[in-house]
Amino acid sequence: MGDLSQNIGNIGGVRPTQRSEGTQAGVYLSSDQIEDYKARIRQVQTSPAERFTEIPATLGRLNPDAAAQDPTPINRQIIQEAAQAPDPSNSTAGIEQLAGNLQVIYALLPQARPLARQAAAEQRLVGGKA
Amino acid sequence: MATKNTTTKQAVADKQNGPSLESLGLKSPIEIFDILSILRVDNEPLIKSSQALLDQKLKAQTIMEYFKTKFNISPGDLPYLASMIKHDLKHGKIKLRRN
Repeated sequence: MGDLSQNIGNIGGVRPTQRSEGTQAGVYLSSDQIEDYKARIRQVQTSPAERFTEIPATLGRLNPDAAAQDPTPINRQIIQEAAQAPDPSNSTAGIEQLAGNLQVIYALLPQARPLARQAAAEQRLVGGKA
Repeated sequence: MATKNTTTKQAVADKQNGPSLESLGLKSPIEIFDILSILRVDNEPLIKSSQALLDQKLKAQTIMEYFKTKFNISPGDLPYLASMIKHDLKHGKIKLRRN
């Protein structure tokens, strides 16, 4: 037959009511967690401008090595383009003309006079103009 | 400069009208108190009487008084608290314990 108290809940397919185990449904938090949430609320409510203090940028903060160097400014050498720059297409022509003229070499370079004399003689043999 | 002005304007608007519930991820003011009413701080329920559970106004009043007296959290900060708890519940940082 069995114990009636065990079967009484199953009569008619009705389940017996469950007893509470002592814990109830909910989100369990501690006071510390609430304090953490409180701190987070304070952080959210402060604007970014209030959250951070603006520190003016100095050379020492940006680059300590640069701050240790001599503070006098470096005088940069300014290289300006020549007012009348030689035309690249004609640049070789001038040199050729000067070097080609053996009389000029003979007059300007005394050390090169024997060479210039020999070159002039060779040119004359070929039929060229010294 | 423009962003600083907008943030200060937003802060002033929040102080006057309260925070935007939509931006906090909340659907209605009732949701704030529904979320906070399921809290059990140090194993103690916030709402102990069944009457306060059923009556929305009484529930809201009980929750506001609880947080003000115990944690010095003003009623204006409760939407933020509810929003954070909802966010943490969704992301599994805190869990809803069932029977």
